[in-house]
Amino acid sequence: MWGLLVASLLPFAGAAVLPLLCERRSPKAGWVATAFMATAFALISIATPTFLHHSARMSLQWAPVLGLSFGMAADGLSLVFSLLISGIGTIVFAFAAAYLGFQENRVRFFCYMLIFAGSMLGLVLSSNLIGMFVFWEFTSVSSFLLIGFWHEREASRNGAFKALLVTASGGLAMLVGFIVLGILAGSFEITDVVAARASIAASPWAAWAAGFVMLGALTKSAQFPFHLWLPSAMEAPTPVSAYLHAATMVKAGLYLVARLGPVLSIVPIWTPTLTVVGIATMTWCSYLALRQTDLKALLAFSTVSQLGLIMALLAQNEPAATAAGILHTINHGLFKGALFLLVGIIEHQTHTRDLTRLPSLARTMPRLYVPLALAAISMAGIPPLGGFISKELFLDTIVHMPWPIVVIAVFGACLTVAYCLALAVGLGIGRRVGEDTGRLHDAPTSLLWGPSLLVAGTVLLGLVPQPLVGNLLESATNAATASTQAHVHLSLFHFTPTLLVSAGAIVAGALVFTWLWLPRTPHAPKLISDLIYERTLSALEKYAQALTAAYMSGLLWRYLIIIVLTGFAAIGYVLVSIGLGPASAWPARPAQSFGYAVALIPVGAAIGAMFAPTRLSAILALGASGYSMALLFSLLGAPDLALTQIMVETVSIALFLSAFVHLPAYGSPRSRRFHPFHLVVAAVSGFGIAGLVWHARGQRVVDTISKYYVAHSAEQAGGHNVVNVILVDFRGLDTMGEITVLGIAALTCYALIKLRPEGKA
Amino acid sequence: MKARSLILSTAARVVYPVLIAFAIFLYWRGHNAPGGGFIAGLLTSAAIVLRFLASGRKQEPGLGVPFVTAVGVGLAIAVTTAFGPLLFGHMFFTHTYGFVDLPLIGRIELATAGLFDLGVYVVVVGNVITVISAMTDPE
Repeated sequence: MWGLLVASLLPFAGAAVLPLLCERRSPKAGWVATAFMATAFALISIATPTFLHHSARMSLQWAPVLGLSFGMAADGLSLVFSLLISGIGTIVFAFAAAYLGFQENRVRFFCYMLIFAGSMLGLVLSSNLIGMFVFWEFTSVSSFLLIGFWHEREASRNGAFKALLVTASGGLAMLVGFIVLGILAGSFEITDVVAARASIAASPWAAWAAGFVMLGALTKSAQFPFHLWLPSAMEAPTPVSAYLHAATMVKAGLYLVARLGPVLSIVPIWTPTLTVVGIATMTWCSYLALRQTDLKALLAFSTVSQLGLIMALLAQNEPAATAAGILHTINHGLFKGALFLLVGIIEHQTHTRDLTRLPSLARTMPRLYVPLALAAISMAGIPPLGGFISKELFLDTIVHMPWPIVVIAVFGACLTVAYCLALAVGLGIGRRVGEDTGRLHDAPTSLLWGPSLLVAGTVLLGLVPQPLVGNLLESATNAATASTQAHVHLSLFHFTPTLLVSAGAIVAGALVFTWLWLPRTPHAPKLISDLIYERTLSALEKYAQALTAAYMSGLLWRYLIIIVLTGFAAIGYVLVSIGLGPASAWPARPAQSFGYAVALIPVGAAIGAMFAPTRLSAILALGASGYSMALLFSLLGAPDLALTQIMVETVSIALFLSAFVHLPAYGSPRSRRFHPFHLVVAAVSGFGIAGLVWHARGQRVVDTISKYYVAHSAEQAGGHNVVNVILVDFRGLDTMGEITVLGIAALTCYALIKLRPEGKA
Repeated sequence: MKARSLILSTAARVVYPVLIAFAIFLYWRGHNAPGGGFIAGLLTSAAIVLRFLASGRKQEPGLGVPFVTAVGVGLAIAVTTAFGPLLFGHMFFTHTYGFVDLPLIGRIELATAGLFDLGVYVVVVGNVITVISAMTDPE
């Protein structure tokens, strides 16, 4: 267990030390990051046999009062995913280390990648729904950063934003579902939720929980109609596409479906919805894949399509289908990861990924072509490769379903064969026949070994599946179906009627490929959901701009009026609706009469500010008012407040002075008009606050908590300054929130002023 | 802020270390007497702004790192102190304190809350200087 804990923390540790160890562009960065990933992979591999037959958990209390903890749980399911994440991660990291150009900021790239890998491991190893959600959003954010890695390109920024918008809002929906589940089960621990599944399913809220969790899974795994973000995410550097958008992150939705399957599949809407969405996505996106000319777009649609297939399998939550789904997850990670990396090499060597502009790869790059063809054939489900076995198992599951689903699924399988042939044969022949291709070099070994290793994996998975993953799959299936009886036996050939269906799909796919795809140039259609997305977003922006322009006039005094009046309207409404209580009496012993005198100073200074002839004198008058407030505070026995007031006053005068040169001309007092309305607002503000304080004094219903603070400050927190102890200890979480706001404010100010685009001063 | 005043710059050179020392003092005593990270942070910022005004330089005075970084560092310190107790089996945001006897100085108190306060201090300094230097030097 400790090994797994260390393994999941290693990537984060790597991200923390990488900037310290390496220069920004140092090639070393990639190898250091790879070493961290490889160690994590080794630790997970060593730990795997231990947890195949009995799962284990450990947890750190976070906030037990709220039922929150950071827990880790290891069972077959999370180990399959952990092995994929760390294993493919190691290969992709090593590939990227050799692949990235010398101008790239490698440290940043690998930091993001390591943070992503760590969050992904955290996600699949979390024993707690809330912990899982936290890591889930972490992966969305790191995916955003990685898609936008080339942030100077507009398409990258748009793609990153689209991905974040879709997956993060899906994640929030999922959180709602998690909270409902947690409340129904009385615990956020996944094992408790699974144990309470009978009572959860009986609740009328279960359908809501299932619906919201489903939204999370469908957005993350880019299922219809949320598939739009994945093709746009292809703006990322190719290793990112291979790792996040083929092998791991998009599988998080599948993991979620498998993990919560035992609970949510009892809810009636769960299985049918996911099956229909999965199959529809599979078929529709395999058609779209066939129409693409950009190789990465083709792979993106094919990924979405394959994810749909797995989604439909895992939604069944019965042992055979689940085993098939998990096996295909492994297979897909291997062949799709390899295909992406190989396309990356093609782009690296030929400077294009447009398949209509590529020459015959079989002739010009034979060393690259062989693994490419093998991976594509595996994806098509042609024996004797790994993809064949899982596709057979898929068809085995599907044939028992209603006939429209069977027809659509078989049609999808046939289109899948067609686009795989477009990769394997189409690229082999090449569209640019007869042109001079003498300049092209075959793929260098430094890049080729990674994808070749993945392809070797998918070949072995076809030849010797049972010894390779049999036990792991059995354990994972048991975990995902909350049973102990799953029995998995994998073999390359088993003669069932589905073999005929499969053969038929392969033949039909080959026909589609030769008659429809080869003779014409594909032309990528514009996605309807993309159009809807763009329209919605631009309408939203327009509306937001109009709304903002209505009140953000740029005139400070208008803002003040809006703030003051809104604030008092809100407070007034509450006060009137709960009814005003008895007014408090005049204090029996007034504050020192000296205090009254001091209180007059800020009043005088404020009046002075009103009639100040220049802006500088107005600022100084305001300063005087502030400093005399500090004097008042110290007289009333609030030294902390007084100190703070002095410092805030000093700093804000400095701030005022620094903004001085940017301010417009200051009219003389004579030239200013008297606004009766402003007088009203000022009166509301001043008398309102005074009245509120006065009123609140008489309304004490419960004892104040301040007595508790005063009594326990020294003994519990070891501090005698109650104000400070409240800030840093008793109410530390509030302070945490406040300094976060301070930080964000500073960053916003910095970004707004310093990072303006050229010429837009 | 081009025109340098000799009096101001000379005075600033003397006053600056005093202000910083006082800020550290305020931070240190914060747990038991008026002071603390927030106040000390504001005082430090004021001291830096004073030097900024006196020197009239375009560059931010400081350690050679942009003060925006300080915002991140401060938040990191605060978050680490908040999550640290988890590793020792305590709840999120649990603070503890103890006493250490030092030669010459005598018994002093060390509290983990002070570490959190340090985070507050660094964030405040980072915030104020970032905003003010962005305002005065918008390039």
